[in-house]
Amino acid sequence: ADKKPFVEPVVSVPVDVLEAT
Amino acid sequence: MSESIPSPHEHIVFTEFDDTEGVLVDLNSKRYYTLNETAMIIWRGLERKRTRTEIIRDITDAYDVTPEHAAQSLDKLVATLRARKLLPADGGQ
Repeated sequence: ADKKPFVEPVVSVPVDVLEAT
Repeated sequence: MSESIPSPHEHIVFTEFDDTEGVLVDLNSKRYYTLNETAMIIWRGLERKRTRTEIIRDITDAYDVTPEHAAQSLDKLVATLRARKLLPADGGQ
């Protein structure tokens, strides 16, 4: 049979760049 | 679901951290989003203006998943990207 197990595609919730910096 | 998927907005910048995680930065809203490995494959396909069928093939080539499941997952992610205004609502820029 070499394929990786499938993981559902995910985009995270938005994060404010100013808060992060 | 149509064959054509709109390309990402010009003001969305994609950076790949490694093979397992990437980041999208919206230069207009000053917000960033993280993508997992599978979502990165889809985003790269969108950037390269690949068709829906081609992106589904990219997913099934790399992962143990049926084309039907890959198509559902692709459509769901595209809907989320549109809802977050990372993709245009319809075809084109």
